[in-house]
Amino acid sequence: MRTTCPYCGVGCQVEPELKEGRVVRVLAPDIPPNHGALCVKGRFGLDFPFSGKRLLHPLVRESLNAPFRRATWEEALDFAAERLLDVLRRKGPEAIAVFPSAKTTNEEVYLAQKLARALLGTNNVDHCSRLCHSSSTAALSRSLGGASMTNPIEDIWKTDLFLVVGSNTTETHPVIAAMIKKRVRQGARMIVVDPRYTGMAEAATLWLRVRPGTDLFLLNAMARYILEADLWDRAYVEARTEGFEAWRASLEEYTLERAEAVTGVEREKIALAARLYATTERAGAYWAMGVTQHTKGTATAQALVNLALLTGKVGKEGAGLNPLRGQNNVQGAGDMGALPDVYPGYLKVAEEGARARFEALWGVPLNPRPGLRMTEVFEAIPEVEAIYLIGEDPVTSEPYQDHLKAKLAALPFLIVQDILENETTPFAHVVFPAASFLEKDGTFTNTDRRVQRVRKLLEPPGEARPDWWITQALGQRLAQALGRPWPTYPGPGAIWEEVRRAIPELMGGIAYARLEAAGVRWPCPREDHPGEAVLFRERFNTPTGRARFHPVDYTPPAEPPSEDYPFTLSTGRVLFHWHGGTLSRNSRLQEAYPELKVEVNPKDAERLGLQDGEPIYVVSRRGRIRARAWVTERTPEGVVYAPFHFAEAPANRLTLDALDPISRIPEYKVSAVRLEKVD
Amino acid sequence: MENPSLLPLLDARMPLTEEKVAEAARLAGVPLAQAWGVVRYYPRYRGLPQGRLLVDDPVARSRGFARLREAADGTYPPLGLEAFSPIHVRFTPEGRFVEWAGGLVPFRDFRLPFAIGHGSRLIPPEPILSLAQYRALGGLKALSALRQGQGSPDGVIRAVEEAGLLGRGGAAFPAHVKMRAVAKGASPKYLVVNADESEPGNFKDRFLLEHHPFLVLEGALLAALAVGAQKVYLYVREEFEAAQTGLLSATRELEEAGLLPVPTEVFRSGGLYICGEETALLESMEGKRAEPRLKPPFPVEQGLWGRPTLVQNVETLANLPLLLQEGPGAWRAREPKLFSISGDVARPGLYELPLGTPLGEALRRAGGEPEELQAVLLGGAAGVFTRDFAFPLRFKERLPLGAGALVAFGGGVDLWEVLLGLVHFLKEESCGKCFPCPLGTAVQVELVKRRERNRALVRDLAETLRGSLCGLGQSAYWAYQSLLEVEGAA
Amino acid sequence: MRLRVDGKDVEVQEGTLLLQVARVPTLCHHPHTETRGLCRICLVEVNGRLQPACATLAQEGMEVKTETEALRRLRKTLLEWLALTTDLSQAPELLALLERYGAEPARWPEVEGRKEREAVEDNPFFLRDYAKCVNCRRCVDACGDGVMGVYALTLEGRGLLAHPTTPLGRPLPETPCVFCGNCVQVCPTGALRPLALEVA
Repeated sequence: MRTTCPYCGVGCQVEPELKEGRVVRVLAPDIPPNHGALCVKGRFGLDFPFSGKRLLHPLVRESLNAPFRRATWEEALDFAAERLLDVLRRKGPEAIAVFPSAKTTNEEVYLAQKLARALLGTNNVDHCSRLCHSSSTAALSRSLGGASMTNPIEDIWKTDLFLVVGSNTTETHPVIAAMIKKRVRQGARMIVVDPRYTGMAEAATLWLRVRPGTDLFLLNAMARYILEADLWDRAYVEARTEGFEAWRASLEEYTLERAEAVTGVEREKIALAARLYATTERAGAYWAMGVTQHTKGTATAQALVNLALLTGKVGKEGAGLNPLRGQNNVQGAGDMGALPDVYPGYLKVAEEGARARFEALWGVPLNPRPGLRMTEVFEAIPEVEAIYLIGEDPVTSEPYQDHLKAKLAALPFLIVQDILENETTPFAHVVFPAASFLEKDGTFTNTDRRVQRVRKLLEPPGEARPDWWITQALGQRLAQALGRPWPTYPGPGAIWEEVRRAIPELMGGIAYARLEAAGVRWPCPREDHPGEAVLFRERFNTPTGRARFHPVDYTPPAEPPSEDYPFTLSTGRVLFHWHGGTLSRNSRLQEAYPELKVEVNPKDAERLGLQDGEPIYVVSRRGRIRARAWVTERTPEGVVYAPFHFAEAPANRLTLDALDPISRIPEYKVSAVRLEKVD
Repeated sequence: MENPSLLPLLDARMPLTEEKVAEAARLAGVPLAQAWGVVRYYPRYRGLPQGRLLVDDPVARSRGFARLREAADGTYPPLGLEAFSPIHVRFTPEGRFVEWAGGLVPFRDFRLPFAIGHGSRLIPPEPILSLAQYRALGGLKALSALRQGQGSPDGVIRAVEEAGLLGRGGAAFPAHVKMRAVAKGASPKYLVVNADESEPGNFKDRFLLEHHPFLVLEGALLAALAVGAQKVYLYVREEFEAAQTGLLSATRELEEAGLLPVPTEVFRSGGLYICGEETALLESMEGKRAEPRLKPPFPVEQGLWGRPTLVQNVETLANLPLLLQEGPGAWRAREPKLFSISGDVARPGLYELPLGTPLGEALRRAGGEPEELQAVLLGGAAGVFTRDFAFPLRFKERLPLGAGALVAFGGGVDLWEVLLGLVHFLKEESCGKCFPCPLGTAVQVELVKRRERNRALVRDLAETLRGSLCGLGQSAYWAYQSLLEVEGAA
Repeated sequence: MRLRVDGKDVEVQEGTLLLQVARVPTLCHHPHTETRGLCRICLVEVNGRLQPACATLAQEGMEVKTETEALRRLRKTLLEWLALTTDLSQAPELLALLERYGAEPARWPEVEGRKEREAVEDNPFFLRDYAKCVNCRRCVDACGDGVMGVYALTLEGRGLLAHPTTPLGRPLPETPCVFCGNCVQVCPTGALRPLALEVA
C-alpha cells in the first residue's frame, strides 16, 4: 500500500512491504514527485516505528523531581486538561503555547492549532519551521504574498540554469538533487553558492565558495552588476514590481571589488554567475538553510527574491524561487496555520475579515493578537507556564542547549506528545504516546505544495494513538470545561473536510478521493481544477498585485571568530540522518553513521596536529562536545562543520541564540569555536 | 563534445595502480566507475597472459592442437599469422615477441613477410614505406587532383557509387551510402579507419598497413575530404605495433610535405575482437567498454562523440585511390579483392584476385588441391565451412565472404576440433552486453565439445543467437551449422 | 500512423515504442533506467527482421509479429539458458515466464555459470548476491546516468561472467554509494535485496 515518506520535504511516495508486522522492503511507485526514486532514508530508514524506544503508554507526574508513572488515557488526558485549564484561569491564554508538529499530518496540525485558538484562546502557536525556513517565509510573504516554492519539482526538467544557494541538496533532498544533477548532465548549467564542497558543488558548472554568512553580499553584488551591465528585465520590473528605485539606490556599495573582499570569491566569477543567471531565460533559484539560518536570514532570502524579480524569473516555467523545505510536512504545518500570526491558509490573525471567517467556522470569538514565536516562547518561560509540544525535540534542535534546558526545567507544565523518547521527554509532566506515520491516515504537503496521502498500514503499538485522536480527546475535555463547541471527528477525513471548508480557495478541490492516483497541488479551488503548478503567472498575491523589492543590507555574523575561538562552526544535516535524529537514529540508518563526525579542513588539521578519525572537543563560549575529526576538503580552511543530529554530542550545545530580527531564526550557521585534542 | 580519451591516458600510465586509474579518470573527465569498468574489460589493463603462448588460430587447431597446447604456457587469440601457423608468441615483462626463425622478434619490429603478398594493384611490388617510394609508384595522384580542384568531394562519392564499392570489413555495405550520409551531416564529423583486423584467418589489412601505409592514408584522406570530416582516426589493432609506428611516420611525412589536408591520428585499439564492430570501436575510442551500441542511431548520424562518423575498413579505403585513378568503370571491370589463404595449401599468403574467382581456383593459386581438401573455412569465426569449390567468391552470394579469409583443411583434420577453436574464441570474445550472445556462445562450446548433432538443439541455438545485439552473436552459430551441413553432404 | 501488429491494424501516435503496442515479456527494460535492447526477450519481427520492442519506434506501415514459433523458441531458449546459469529463485517474474514458455533447461549441457558466486554483504542495507544476477545492468544505470548520477556501480569482466561491481572493487561504503537503493528497486532477480528481508 502506498504512503508518503516521513523524512524530508520532497514527499516521496513509498510502498513499504510488510512481513510479520515489519517493514522489510520499500519500493517507490512511478508517480510524482519521485517517480520511483528514493534516498537511503526512505528506502532503508522506515523501520523506526519498530524501535524499542517507542513510547507505549501515557505517563504523568506532578513535578520534574517525581518519576513518571504509567497512566490510563483517561487519567492522563484529564490530568493534562486540568493543568492547562488551571494555567488558563490563573494566567490567561498568553501563558500557554501549543507547538504542532511539521512531522504530523495536515489534519493533526489543523486540529492542534484549532485547539490553541478556539479552545485556549492563544495564538502562541508555532512549529519548527521557525528554525528552518521562517526567513524565507518572511521574505517571500512580504514581497510576493506567498511562502512556498513558486515552481513545481518537475520544472527541473525545463530549467536551463540552477542557482543553488546554501543547499546541500544531495544530502538533504537527495531525490531532488538527483533530478537536478541529471538535468545538468543533459546540458543545463548549475551555479552553486556554498562554503562547503558539497555534492552539488561537485556537480556544479560554477562553484562560488563564499565565506560563511556572506551570501547576502554576493547576491547584492550580482544584482548591482546586472543593473550596471544592463542585463535586467526592464519590462518585467516595470510591469510587475514596485519599490525598484529605492532598492536600486541601496545597492551602491555592493561593488564586485568589495564583494570579492567580503565573500572571498573572485570578482570575475561573481560577474559570470550574474551574467549566466540574468541571461538564461529558464533559471531557477533553489535554496535552503545556508541562506536562512543566519541573523540576516530574512535579508539574504530577500536578496535572492530581489535578484529574481530584477531578472524577471518569477511566474515562469522552469524558473522561480524555490526554498527546499526540510520536513515531511513543514509546508503543510504552515498551510494549516501552525504560526503565531496566521490562521490556516495564511490568513492574518490581526485582520478582521480573516478572524471573522474562523470565528464563524469554529463558533467562538478569537484572540486578535498575534502570538509569540517558538524561540520567543522559550524565552518567555516562566511567564509562559504551559506548553503542549507535539512531535518535536527542542533540546536537540534549538540553539544554545544549556540555556534552553534551564528554561525547560523552569517550565511549570509541559506535555510531550511523540512516538519515541527524546531529549526533551525528561522535562515533561505528561507524555502522550503517539502513532507513527505507518499507523494512521491523513495527508502531508510536500515542498512543492503537493498534498499527498498518508495511509495506515499497521496498528499502533501498546496504547499509542494517532496525534489527531489525542488532540481531539484533550480538546473534548477542554471544550466541556470551557463550554465551547468542539465537534467529534470520526477520523482524519472529517478533519480534512473542515480544512476544505475553511480555506476553499487553497484546498477546496482537494478531496481524499482525488489523492488515490497521486497528490494534488494547492491552490486548487475546485474538484475539476488540476492544482496550480507555477505561482504568480499573472499577478502576485499582494494588495497591488505587484511584487515588492525590499532593500537589504549586509551585516557581519553575530559571533565572528576570535583569538580564543578561531574557527567558524557551521551546523546542518548529513545524508543518513534527519533533524534531531529521533527517527533516523532509531532506524537501520544509525548503523551507517553511528556517531558525530566534525569536518575539519586538512590544512587546519595539520596545524593542530589532528589525524583523520581522531577524537576531538569542539568548544564554544557556551559549551563543549566530543566528536571525531573528519579531515576533508569539503570544508574550507577556518570552518568546521557539525551535523546536529546527535543527542549525546549535540552541536546545538555550541550554537548561539542570536536571532534574525524579523523571522527570529537562530544563527545556526555561524558560531565561533575552537578545537581541542582529547588526551 | 570531444574529451581526452581514457584509453590513451591509461596506456600512458602502465603499469596501472589504483591511483593512476583515478588520475586517468580525472583527466578524462569521467567517473572512476567508468574507468574501472574499462580497466576490468580490456585485456591489457586486466593483465595479459605471460610466457610462451600458442596462437590459437584455425590452422593450429588443425595441426595436433592438444599436443601444441600442452607444450605452451597458454594461448593467444589469432593474430593474422595463420600463414605461419602453428606459431608462438612470447609475453614477458620485457615485452611481447613473435617466435620467428628460431629467434624472438619484438612486436614493434614484426611485419608479415612481404613475400606472402601476391598481386598488382593493392599489393605493391615492394614495401612502400616512404613518401618518395609512394610517389614513385604513382601515388597521391588522386588526392592531389582533388586538392587542386580537379574533381569535387561529391565527385568522389559519385565515383564510389558508380564503382559499386562494397565494404571490405565483412558486412559488404555499399560504401557510398555511408559516405553520402556523413557528407550530409553537420560538422564536426569524423572518419575512423577500422584497422582492427581480428577475424581469424584474415591478414589482409595487417599486410596493407605494414607494407602500404601511404595507400591506406591516401584512401582515408580522400574519403575524409569527400565527406568533410574534420579529423581522421586510424583505429589500429593494438598488437600491430609495427603498423602503428609505420602509420605514424607516414602521417608525419605527409604532414611535413604539406600533404595532410585533414589532421590524422593513430589510435591504439582496445585489443579485442569486438573492437572491430564499428559501434563497439567508437565506444572504446570514447573511453568506454567496447560494447556495441543499439542501432539506430547509426554511426553516420551519431558516431564518435555523438557526431556523424564514417567508419570504413582499411581495404575499402585502399581501393579509393585506385578507383579514382582507374575510373569506376575500369576498376569495376576487374574489381580487386584480397584473400587471406592459409591452412593446407602449399603457399599460404595474401592473394589479390578478381572478385568472382571460384573458390577452387583461388585455392589452386595458393598451391592447394581442392580434391584433396575436406573443407574450407570461408570468412573466419563468423564464417562457414564449405566444400563448394565452384562457389564464386563474391559478396552477397549464398555463402558469406566475410573479409575474405580462406582456411583450407586436408583429409586428416578433425574439423570438430577446428570448430571448437572457433566457438571457444567467440565465447571468449563475447562482450556480455546482450543476453543471447554470452549465454549462447558458452552453451555452444559445451555442445561442440560433446559433438552434439541434435537438430532441434542446434536450431534453437541458432535462432536464439540470431537475436543477439551485434554481428558477433548473430553469426556465432554459422560455423557450427555449416559443419553439420558439410558432414551431411559428405 | 498505422501499423499491423499480429495481423491487426493498430493506430498509434508518433514516438510510440513497439513495446507499447506489443504484449511481449521484458527483462532489461525499466521505466526508470535507460537500459534497452540488452536481454532481447522482447524481440519482435518487424518486416521479417528481429527488433527489440523496447527500443524500436513504431513506423507507418510496419508489419509486426510478436509471437511467431521462432520467437517463442527464442524466448524459451533464452529463459532456459538463464535458468541454466543463474539462480532465479528470487525472480518470480522470470520463473513465471519459464513456466509460460514451457522451458526445459535440462536439455542443454551444463556450463560454467554464475550460480557459484558468493553473496557480498558489505553494508548495513542490502546484499549483492551475484549468483542471481542476469547482468541486465539496470542497477548500474540507476546508480549512474539513469537516475542518481552517483556512479558507485560499474561492470567487471566480459562475456557470460561479466557482472556489476564497484569502482576499484571496493566495499560499497568506500565508494560514492549513497545507499539510495534505487539499484535494489530496479533489480529484477533479487540479486540486490534488502537485508531486512533476510532476517525477517
